[in-house]
Amino acid sequence: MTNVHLPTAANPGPFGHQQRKNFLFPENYTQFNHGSFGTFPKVVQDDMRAWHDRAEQNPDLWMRRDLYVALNDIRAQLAEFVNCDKEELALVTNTTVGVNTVLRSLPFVPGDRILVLSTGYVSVNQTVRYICDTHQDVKVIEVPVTFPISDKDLLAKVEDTLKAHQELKDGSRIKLGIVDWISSVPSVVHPVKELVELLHSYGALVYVDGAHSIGQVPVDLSHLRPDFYIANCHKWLYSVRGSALLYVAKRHQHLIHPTSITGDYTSGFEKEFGWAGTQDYSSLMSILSALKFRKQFGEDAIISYTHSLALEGGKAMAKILGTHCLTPDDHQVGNMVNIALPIKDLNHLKANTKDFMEILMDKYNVYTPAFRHGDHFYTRVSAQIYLELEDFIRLANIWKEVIDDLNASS
Amino acid sequence: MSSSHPQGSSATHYSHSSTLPTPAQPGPFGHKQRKNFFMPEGKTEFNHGSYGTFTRSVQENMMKWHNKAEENPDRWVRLDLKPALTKVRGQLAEFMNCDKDELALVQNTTVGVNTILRSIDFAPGDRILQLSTGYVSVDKTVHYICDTHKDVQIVEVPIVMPLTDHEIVFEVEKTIQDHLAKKDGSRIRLAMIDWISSVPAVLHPIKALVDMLRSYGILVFVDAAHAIGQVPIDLTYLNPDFLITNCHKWLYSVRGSAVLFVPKRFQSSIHPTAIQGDYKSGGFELEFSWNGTMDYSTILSIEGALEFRKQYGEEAIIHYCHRLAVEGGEKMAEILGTDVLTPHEQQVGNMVNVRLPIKNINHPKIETPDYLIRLLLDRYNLFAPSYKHGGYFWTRVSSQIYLELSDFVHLGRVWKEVIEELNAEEED
Repeated sequence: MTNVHLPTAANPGPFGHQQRKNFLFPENYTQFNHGSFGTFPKVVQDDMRAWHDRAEQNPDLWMRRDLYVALNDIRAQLAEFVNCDKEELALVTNTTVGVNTVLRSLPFVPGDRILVLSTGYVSVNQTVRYICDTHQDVKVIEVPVTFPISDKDLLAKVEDTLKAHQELKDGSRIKLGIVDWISSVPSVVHPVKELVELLHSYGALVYVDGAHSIGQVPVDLSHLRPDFYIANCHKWLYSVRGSALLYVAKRHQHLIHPTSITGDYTSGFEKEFGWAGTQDYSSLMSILSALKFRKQFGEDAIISYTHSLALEGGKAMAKILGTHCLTPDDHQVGNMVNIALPIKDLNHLKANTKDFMEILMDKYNVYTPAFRHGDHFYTRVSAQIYLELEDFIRLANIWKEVIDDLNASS
Repeated sequence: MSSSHPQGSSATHYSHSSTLPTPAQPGPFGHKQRKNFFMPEGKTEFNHGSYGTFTRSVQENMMKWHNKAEENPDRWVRLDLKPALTKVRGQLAEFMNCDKDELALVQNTTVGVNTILRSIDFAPGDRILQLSTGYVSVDKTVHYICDTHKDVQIVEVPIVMPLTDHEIVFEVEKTIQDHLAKKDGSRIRLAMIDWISSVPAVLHPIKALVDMLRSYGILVFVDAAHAIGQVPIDLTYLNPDFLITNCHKWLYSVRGSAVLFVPKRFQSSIHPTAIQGDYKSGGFELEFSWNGTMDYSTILSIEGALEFRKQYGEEAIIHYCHRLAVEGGEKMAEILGTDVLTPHEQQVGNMVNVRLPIKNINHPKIETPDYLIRLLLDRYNLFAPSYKHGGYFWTRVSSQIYLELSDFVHLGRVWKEVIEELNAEEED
């Protein structure tokens, strides 16, 4: 990504504040937390509305025929985007559904173990807990991870856990490992290819939680070769909320059924996932216009800008706050950067996610999640094409004021 | 919701007040309603029952919610969404006479059915009772449960219409008694019962069925997919163990908005089809208040739907649609020289099944899945589903506030032409 023609924080090209008008923000609002719920351009919303109207012109024709044509087209385009077979893709509502789809389908037997990292997303870890609750002698093995940690050390930690489990020789086996591509809180780009290979080498299936991946990093599933992969299109790809992509390798498809069984049960993966019952499919349809919007600029350009902005913005914020960024290496940052907050007393009553949220929203009309990790509080900031370096500077000054006030109070 | 509807028997009573709209005196209903909806010129919607449709005002309501979210997604999701959903639950609780904390908003009936069935801890020897006329996705879900549990099996009640309310209850009870007589250690744990079945569309004697099943100690899950907006619902009176109903069918909300009823006594064991962060840490309300990141504006459009309907009142809407279905069905049967499926008017809600006078029920074109859909849409720019039942061929027609008797006459003539053509082919 060092091509001199690609946009960067210093040279935004088509990006920066000029992009704001393409989105739906009110005048006085700056979105620093794209990573939580995403947002989408006006053209995507207009297109979603057009699909919505179209369905109403003839609901029977739409639901019984045209919908499938459209869904197939979306799968084909996404398959090209992530470099896999269209038949290996299913469209679902979100990552939570995608994770439940696979976990609640796999035939876990007594003695199976599921490996997760402590930094995995709460809904994923709770779903694993549910699986353990509802199956006899199926347990979770958690790899304790505290950042900062390099890729190499992270892999070593996971391997240590795998080895330690082997030593047990208790007849149990690690059936499945769930790994983040880019974790949520804290937000770190993981060495996902090496993790997949490592887990495979110990005989475990791998489910890559790519909730944040598509649109933030290049995705090549033929290269990555996971057993299962889920990605939200409504996070970094700019489609409307409720549009996600589930990848199930062909060799596993016979085992996997939707979280809601429909009339096509036992008719094969494609049919079973082709119809999710009556719902409004316009969120899924919006994937098409999201891809089209991005094509104007090209994936390389978008990713180059947002990544560069996250790095430069993070550094600028750390300087203003007198702290540091969580991740030791630049390649561990995608579009989201975590900056330590200079809180004097970590046990201060008001040093918590909820209180920070209220102050930021009510007093400053901004929001970035603040969370405790290891020995620090961090805030996670999401770079986007509608932001510029000066936004990060403004945010840093807001946080400085908030923390100065906190430190001054008892 | 008017409390003047007597619910004292298994029949649904419709007011016969002369001030309520009828096909002869449509009042605010009929073709003048078309402009409130999305139907293009020249297209008449006879199949509201499959996917529903909604008004322009409901779509605007949906877009209002959609846009609100985009103004500040964090504030919306973290602070404002849940109160908005709770308000909708409150409105529906009032509508259906139950406690709002016994309701969960889900996407559709398929999700609701899976939520309950995949949560119940079925044990070896459990049997699930269903009627042969139950919906295909429900049937498949029950099959899935049987496939994934040891010695859990289906007990099916064969239902071939025409049957009276009394006969339907009798058939179900007979099946239960036959099962008891086996004395094989198995027990009917749960029954799936339609309030209004899909194909054929029959309004069942639901109160009598629920009471009878509960008297045998069987849990009752009422598939009320078609109920809300088509018949009055009083959950306190009906007292099912579980109930699911689609708001996007007859209530006019946008697709992807349904409501699941789970009485408090069962809530601790019911979890969503997609487990999320609140699992075991907040109880039923919290577990079901967030389904992960999605577009909640379709669910919130229930508010717009209720608002639209309040203009006319539930009684007026239900009365008009019901009378139109009954009279429209009669008219069509007259034109076709046939009859309607249901012996009694009270077995008809807003959907009526009219027999098609096909000579050969195994005609190859009927066997071809898409043939009739394409023919009706391409040639006549309309659609009503057709299906086999009890050795005959039927069409199911959905009445609505945007239809009039003349529409049923038109449809009758269309079907007459289509069937005569098919019959003539046979003679060649």
